[in-house]
Amino acid sequence: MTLQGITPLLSVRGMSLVRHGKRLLHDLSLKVRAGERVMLLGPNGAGKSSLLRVLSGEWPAESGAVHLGGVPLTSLSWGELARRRAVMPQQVTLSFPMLAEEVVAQGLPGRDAGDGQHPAVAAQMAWCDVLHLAGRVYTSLSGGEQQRVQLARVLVQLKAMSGERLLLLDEATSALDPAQQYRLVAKLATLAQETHTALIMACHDLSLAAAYGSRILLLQDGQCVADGTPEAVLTEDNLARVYGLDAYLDTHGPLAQVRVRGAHPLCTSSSRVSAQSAHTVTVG
Amino acid sequence: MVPVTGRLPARPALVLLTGLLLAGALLALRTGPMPLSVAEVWQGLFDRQAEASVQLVVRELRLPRLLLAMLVGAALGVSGALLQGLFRNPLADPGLIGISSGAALGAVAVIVLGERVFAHWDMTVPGMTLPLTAFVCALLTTAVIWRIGSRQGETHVAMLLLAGIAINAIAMAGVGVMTFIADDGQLRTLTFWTMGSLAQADWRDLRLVSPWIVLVLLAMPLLARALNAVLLGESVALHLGHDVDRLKRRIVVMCALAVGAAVSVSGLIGFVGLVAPHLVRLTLGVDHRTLLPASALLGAVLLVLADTGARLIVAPAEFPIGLMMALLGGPFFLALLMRRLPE
Repeated sequence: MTLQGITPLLSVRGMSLVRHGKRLLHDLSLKVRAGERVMLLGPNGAGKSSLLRVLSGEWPAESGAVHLGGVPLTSLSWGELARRRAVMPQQVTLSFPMLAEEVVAQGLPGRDAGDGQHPAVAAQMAWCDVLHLAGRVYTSLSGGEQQRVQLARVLVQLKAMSGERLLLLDEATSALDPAQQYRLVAKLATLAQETHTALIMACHDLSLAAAYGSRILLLQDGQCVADGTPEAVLTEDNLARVYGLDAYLDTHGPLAQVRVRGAHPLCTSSSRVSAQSAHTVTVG
Repeated sequence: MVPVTGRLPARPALVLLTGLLLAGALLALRTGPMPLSVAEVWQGLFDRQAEASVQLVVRELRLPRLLLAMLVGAALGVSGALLQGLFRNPLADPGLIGISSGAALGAVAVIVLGERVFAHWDMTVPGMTLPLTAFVCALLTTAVIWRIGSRQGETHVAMLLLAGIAINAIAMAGVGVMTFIADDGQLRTLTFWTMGSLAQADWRDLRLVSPWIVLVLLAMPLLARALNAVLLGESVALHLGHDVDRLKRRIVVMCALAVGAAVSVSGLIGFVGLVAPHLVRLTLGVDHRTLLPASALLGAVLLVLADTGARLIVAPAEFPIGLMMALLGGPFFLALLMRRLPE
């Protein structure tokens, strides 16, 4: 491991988030180094998107500390943040007919922003396999195409950064077909390893997370239930307790995959909520 | 959904619009009860030895009116484009944040109550009272709506629009009360004011409004990139490094200043703020670096042409320019939308 990988790029200590009187995240602690691929898992409403919003600087944490590159997140301006982390939100809706290349070009820094002819725009659109859509109107594209165009925009922003950087993806591949999904996430994982990027990606596809995550963070009701390698986190016990799923992690094939036998017979969704209490598993 | 479009290159289009504006300006200077040739217009503008009546008509009557039409049109066009971008809504318009209704209430109050109030000091109503009151009331109304729409330093667009609707209704009720207690002469004056007119334009009006509008026109290019990012949503604009709350404050202040100034001298002229940015988007695309200057130019062209038409069609009387805009622009705009929709 290189020297720069030793100090964590992102460090979260005892962070809680309250929005509109509701506690969304509770006492979360987390250290992520450049090059790590962290998959954020958890059922609907577990707090995956909320955590990403705090890490992106969009929502201020109520208590605790979030440091990016050793600097408190709150002391960074929007401009400084934009040079250290790129974010892809779950959904981007447009009410005006922007071209796909114009959308991607918004990721360019400073005076280049919006310049659809910039070489970085074509490069990242090709990377995301949407170069042929450059001249199309964004709103006329399919859901999966829109998602890949947004990903290209995020990558344009990421590529313009120097040094260690943070890439936050909120269900960035949810609308893609399985082949595109596996192809892109594999490429993203490689990209994170090769370019000093800490990748944190929220997703619902357990197998995808198991296959490409170097680490998995399992959230439930705003708390971190387990944090570690896919093998350590995706145990039959955790899958049953958090997801109410009768499933196991199969590591025999070329890619680790979660095999589902069905919904867990003992875990209805209501008993799952009441049984979770404050049972936290810590994994080295 | 906004219909979509073949696109023209930006730079030639801006040059073309500038050419159109100059042609419209020449037409406006030549047309009127005393038709002038191009040579006479030139003499009236630049030749001190020219015939006195020509100098008077060109320099004191038509030129200030032309410049005012340009500035008011540019202010309305660019404010429409700014607010539509900020609210991410093609229907947004300066009226939404209370500028028009506030100015209307101020102006109508001066028309109806002015004489009585100034009679206390044995004065007639000073000429600047109406535009100044309208301007101040426009800014005040916008400030109130802005206060209600903002909580803890964040501004919620939906809240802002709802507050705008409520405050607009209250202001228009105020206008209604004034209309109710007005006498016949005042009624006629205020009716004409609410239909919009540049007939009273003079250099004094121009001095009052031009600094604000010119300031806004000069500052607007600085906001274009941030507005482009806002088209992807406020969150994305934040992620891309733009301070969205600061942008909102700046845009609302700029629009209140420019449109407040415009409305205070011209009365209510609707439609320019809606139609100019739309036409530009249909032909040039949504990039604010082109959209903002092109909307300003097109707004100016539209208003100069409408004002020239307003002086011609019922000569020697004048048709209200606000009505003119709505009557001609409305069907044209509809036709354009219908033609584009089937794609």
